[in-house]
Amino acid sequence: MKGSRQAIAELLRARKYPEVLVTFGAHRKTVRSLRSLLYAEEALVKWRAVSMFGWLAAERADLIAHEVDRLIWSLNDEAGSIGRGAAECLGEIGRKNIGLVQHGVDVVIHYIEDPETCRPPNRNTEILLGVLWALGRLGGGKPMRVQKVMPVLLSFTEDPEPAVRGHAAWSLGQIGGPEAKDRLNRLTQDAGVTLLYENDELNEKAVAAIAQEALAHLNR
Amino acid sequence: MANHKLRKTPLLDDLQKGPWPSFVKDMKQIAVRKPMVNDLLGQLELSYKERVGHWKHGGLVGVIGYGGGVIGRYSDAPEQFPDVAHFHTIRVNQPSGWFYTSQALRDLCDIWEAHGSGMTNMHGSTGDCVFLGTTSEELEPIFAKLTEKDWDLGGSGSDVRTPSCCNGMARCEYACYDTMDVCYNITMEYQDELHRPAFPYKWKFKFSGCPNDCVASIARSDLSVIGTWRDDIRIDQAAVKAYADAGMDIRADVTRKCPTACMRYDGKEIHVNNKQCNRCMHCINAMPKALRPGKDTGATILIGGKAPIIEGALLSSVLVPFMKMDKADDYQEFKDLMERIWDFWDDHGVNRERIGECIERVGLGNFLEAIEVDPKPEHVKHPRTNPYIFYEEYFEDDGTDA
Amino acid sequence: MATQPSAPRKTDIGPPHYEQFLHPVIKKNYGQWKYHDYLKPGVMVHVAESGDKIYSVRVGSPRLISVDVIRMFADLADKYCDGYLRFTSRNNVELMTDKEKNIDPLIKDIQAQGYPVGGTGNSISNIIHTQGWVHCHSAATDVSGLVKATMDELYEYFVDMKLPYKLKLAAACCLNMCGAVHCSDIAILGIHRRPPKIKDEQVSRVCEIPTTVSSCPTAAIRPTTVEGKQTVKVDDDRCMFCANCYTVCPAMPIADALNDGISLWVGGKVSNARSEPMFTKLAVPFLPNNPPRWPEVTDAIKKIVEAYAGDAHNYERLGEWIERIGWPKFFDMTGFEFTKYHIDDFRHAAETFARSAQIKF
Repeated sequence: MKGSRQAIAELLRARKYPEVLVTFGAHRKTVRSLRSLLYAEEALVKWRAVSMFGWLAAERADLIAHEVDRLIWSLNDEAGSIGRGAAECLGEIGRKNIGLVQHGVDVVIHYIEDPETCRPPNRNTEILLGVLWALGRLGGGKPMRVQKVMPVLLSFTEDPEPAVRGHAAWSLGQIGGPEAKDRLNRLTQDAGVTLLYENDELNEKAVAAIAQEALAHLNR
Repeated sequence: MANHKLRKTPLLDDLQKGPWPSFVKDMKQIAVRKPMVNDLLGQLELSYKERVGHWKHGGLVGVIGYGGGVIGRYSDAPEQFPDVAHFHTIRVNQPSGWFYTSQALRDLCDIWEAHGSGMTNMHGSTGDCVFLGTTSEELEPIFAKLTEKDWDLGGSGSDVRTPSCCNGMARCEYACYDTMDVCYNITMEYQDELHRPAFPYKWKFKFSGCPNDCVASIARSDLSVIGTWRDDIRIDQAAVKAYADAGMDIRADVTRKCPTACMRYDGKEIHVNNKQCNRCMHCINAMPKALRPGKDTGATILIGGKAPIIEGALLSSVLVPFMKMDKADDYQEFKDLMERIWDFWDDHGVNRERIGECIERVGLGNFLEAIEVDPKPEHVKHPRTNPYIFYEEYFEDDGTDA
Repeated sequence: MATQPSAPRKTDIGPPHYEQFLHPVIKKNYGQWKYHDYLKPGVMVHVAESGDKIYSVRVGSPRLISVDVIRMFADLADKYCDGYLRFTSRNNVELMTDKEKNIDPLIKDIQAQGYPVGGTGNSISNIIHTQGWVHCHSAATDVSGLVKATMDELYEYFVDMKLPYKLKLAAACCLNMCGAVHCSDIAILGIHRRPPKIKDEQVSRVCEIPTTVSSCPTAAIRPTTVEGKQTVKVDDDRCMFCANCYTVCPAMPIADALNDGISLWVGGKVSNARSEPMFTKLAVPFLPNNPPRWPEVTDAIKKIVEAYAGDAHNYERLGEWIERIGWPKFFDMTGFEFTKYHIDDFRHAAETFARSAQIKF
């Protein structure tokens, strides 16, 4: 049904994840609509779709068993598909159910090193932000998982774009470690501002505030 | 005017000679005002000299809201050819049958001249109008100008690809259904799937109005719709006589070439045993003024065509021998079938597996059962020759005497 | 780069509706056409039930064209066709008019611009092709140049209708075959002959290893570790250089200027007329990649065309001609060498062996 995409978006705005399956059916067609909403122009809807994939990973993994391969491919497709929301989605799925992403975790984590997408001169900042966020979800509570790419992640705290610094800071706050704290300390006066999605909410936040909250969290 | 030095291209220059229109000549003319094309020529010349390409593998770029329509492309020699450092392609969904007005073409040219290299493919292999070569910053402005003039992007990557069709009822007397309308209808119906990847891999629709299959749908699409008819070939015997009077050898060139030997010419009239006619179109092609398809028209639906990678090339195979393509019903029967096929493919297809390969893997019989289509002799060339039958029904011994 | 659009954007609107692009005579007689005929090479007339006629002048085009060329065609459409034109499924242009008197002056103007009129009926109707070195990262050759070189040699067959039947050519710069190369009368295919050169230190960073392993049609790729790094290795004996691994894994480039080349294929068709649709079959496994004119390729193609033109019956497509005379005679007439490479060794290969005593001497 064509109207379902809009209707599902409404439920996502209201954070009604179980209702999506109840209303539209617990089948692949509903999941396809969710996948389509990863491309939603409204950032909140896209992020809630990410969260819904995480919810599905925990509650109905059977519905998204095939999704992981496709999401990974969309980050590498050389024929013109672009994996908007794919990295975030994989991060969230991995956070809720690592078994589903096991074979792809390394691809997502090492994506931060991808020369074309994440580095100048040709980088796609939107994808980069998604990868930074995914690192936070995958590495949160499991720092060993992302150890190999820590140097690269740390380097993004000095990026010219505030959104990139902010997401790197948030990620480091999830992952922790002495080097993370050191970098976060340096960001506590950063005047930049970014949109950040955490705890299911999308808010504009100062990089300084992100860094301070991250340090508070790590020093608990 | 030109503030850049024009590249020297001795190898390419040779291709300016000869009677066939020269893309090099065309590119050199526009290169005077377009540094991108100048560098494109330079890089192409280097490729001709070294015999290798100079494009990097892929690149993730696009417009907001879409998961496709743009192919990222970066030069691997950007210091040498800075103006093709970014050289992305934009696919613009073509109108059905590739019909245009001069004004529409000028609109597209103006947009492209202002924001890109000015080089196009009319058209790309899938069917889209291809804008060849622009930078990342220009993607959103181009998209805004295109949609302002009611153009949209086509499909790419693992999306449903832009459907295409023959010119059908617009100009061809053979058309057995309105290919132009079906193509437009299906393109609009599946806009979401066309712009955002949802399935295991790409999906191509191609609509041909008759078994001549002028858009090669049986070879190039996952879902081929080939027009056909159920009733009798229409014959104008006076026109048959006119062909004979003009010297046509009707027996040698028409009736004896019929693959089912269902035609007879008695020196005056052509007779067709329509129950044996397999709609090959040969006789109609040979005598268009005398022979025409019947009037009870519709389409044969075939599935699974693709190029060699990975398991080999496939031609589409028969799925529905005859379906009415009913405009009044908004082609609902076709769309219902598509739903069942896509649900199956989504559930069973592995990543990057085309439906044709998926069907080969799971078995055509199992696929038909899953999408609720009854098996028919029309589905196969002939029944199996090997006896390895996976019987599913059998008796149990309940232990009592019979 | 902005992640949030600033103003409401139009999306998912699809293409413009075709009806606005139809010539009034076409629109009036939509679905009411009666028959067609050829007035001369490149000029068709379609006659409607109403008696109305529309003339279509078909023009050969290189497909890769600038906005200047498109505008030139637009100007011609304005001058002679009330502004209406179309492109064909084989990259030609059709200028459509309902006025017979416009045909000859239109043709004169087209030819003055350096473009040929033809491609109808029993002709070579252009060569459909892919991007090649102009734009593709996986190209083994350049097809725009190949097409130009080949059509220069075969020009007489485009501007006339003197072949036994239609001859459809296609060219692809690699095995992905973006086009109908697997089903054309004569097809030109860019190929590789050496395995990929694996960049071990990059593989695990830019490639998903299970996808890379499963991308190989002959299971020649295995995961392995090199100096502690996860990577893949290729069994050279199982590799047939299709380059699908490179498509999924940028760290396995395969382009090789020394060994890449061209193969020629013959005998495909998509139409159902007389015989069923069929795939192309290998005619010549390797010809050198010799830009800018590829003389070895164009010579071989000419041999095929001339053999076909001299021997085939009316209405016989190239593949049907070969089926009738037999493959041994085809190799005889063209002089191409039959080699071990011509014998299939992939899935279903055994189905292609000659299992009968029907042999011509």
